[in-house]
Amino acid sequence: MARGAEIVAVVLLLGACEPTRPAELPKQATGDVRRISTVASTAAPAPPPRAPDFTLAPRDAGVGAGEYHPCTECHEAGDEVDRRPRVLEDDHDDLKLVHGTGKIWCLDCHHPEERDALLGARGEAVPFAQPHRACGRCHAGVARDFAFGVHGRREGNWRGERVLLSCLACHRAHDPAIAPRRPASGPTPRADLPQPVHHHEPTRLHRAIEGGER
Amino acid sequence: MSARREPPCPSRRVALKVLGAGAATAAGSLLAGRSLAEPAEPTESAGFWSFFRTHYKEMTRGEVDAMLARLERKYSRRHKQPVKVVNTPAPDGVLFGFALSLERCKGYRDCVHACVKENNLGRNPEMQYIRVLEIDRGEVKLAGAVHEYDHPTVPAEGKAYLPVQCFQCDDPPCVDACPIDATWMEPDGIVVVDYDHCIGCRYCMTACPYWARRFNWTTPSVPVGELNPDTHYLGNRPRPGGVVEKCSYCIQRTRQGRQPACQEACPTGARVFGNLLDPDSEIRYVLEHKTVFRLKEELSTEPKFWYFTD
Repeated sequence: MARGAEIVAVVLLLGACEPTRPAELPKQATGDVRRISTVASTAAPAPPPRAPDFTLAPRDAGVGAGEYHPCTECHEAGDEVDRRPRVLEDDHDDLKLVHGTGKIWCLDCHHPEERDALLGARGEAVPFAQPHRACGRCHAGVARDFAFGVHGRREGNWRGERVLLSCLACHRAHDPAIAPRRPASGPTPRADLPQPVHHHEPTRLHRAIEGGER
Repeated sequence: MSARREPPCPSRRVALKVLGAGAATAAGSLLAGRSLAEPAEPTESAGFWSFFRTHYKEMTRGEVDAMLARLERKYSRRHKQPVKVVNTPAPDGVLFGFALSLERCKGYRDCVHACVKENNLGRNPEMQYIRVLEIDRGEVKLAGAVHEYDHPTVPAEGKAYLPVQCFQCDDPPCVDACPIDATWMEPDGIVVVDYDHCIGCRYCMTACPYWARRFNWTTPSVPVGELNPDTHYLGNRPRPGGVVEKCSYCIQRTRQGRQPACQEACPTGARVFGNLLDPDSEIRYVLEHKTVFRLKEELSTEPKFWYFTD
């Protein structure tokens, strides 16, 4: 009797565990945003196993353009390597390492033996032309977003072959923070008249109300 | 003598007047005839075919092709450069959507000006589809937002930036407001305007909760040589004065697989554009893995434009 009940329970459980099919999106375009947003909020946040393939755009523009300092200009492949982290005072004065605010040094990113290469996730040599594989050693979340096309910028098209900007198109490797700059001109309402007063700057009335000034 | 000579004088004056007026009229009609014979620019805008044409969606293919050819001739003459006007249809199985990272937008306004150039917006005064709102960091409070900010450098201390444009609502109130069906939603989700059908009543502008539509008080002026010659009938073709226009997600680019001009211009990569129906697209990755919200979602206009944070 008890055994029968167990079997029934197992069968019921199996029935309940049948994998639910993901909500199928309609082929026709109109009127399905509501369903998409529902999918977005309820779907389990399991990232797809692999990001779609991509290639990197040639590094001919952006902040990193023209900045190329091959280590083999001075270091040779067979040279003895001093792996003790230290501040390099001699002969590296053109390289100012702001990146990491002193917590990292050269060989945390550069490959110690293959001098014109970076360190990949498993310590493998990564060519300078594939910097995202080296940056991802520390910035794993950003690297994932980059591969899925959310961090960085896709060039040219929204479908078809994916070409992404390299990390170094926007960030300098040794000083990656993007410096603030002047914004382009804003809207010109009432082009021939004095520009409107910015309301967020407190006027005398504001000060009087807030500060009890008379 | 003088009393007798009085009467003929007025009549002679009248006769002279009539003669003079006749001569002026003749000269005027001669001039008018000459300017009509010349390829002057306003002849076709007020022409027979433009006036008596049917609604764009009811035109046959032949009628549309003839109209596009007519427009190409007109724009090429007016702007002194070859202009192409196409009507690329919506691609199958595509619903366009946009996502914008509030963390990466720094308020540089590069998108605003790329949009002006791409979409042939009037330059004097300059019309802009995108407004970058400056808000206080920490909360999205539109009431205190400023869009005329002009700091020496951005991002300013304690400020965040929230660009606003047409969100291509999936239940667009502007379309419902139009009394003559001059604006509608295309199968790929882009809300378009037929500038030749629009009567300029501006009901759509009052219906839009996002202030996304703009009205041409004058004919938009684009300096000679600065016109973007790759135009779409429902997008960036030169507009007449007195009609309403808006962002079309760069319909002339995106329907050919290209990215919108604002995405291409964004120096921080804050904008993600793509097909909402493609589960492998970047935009779907954002919607499924990031914290997203839409502006004024409570109005149920279902904008296809999300803001996201990591």
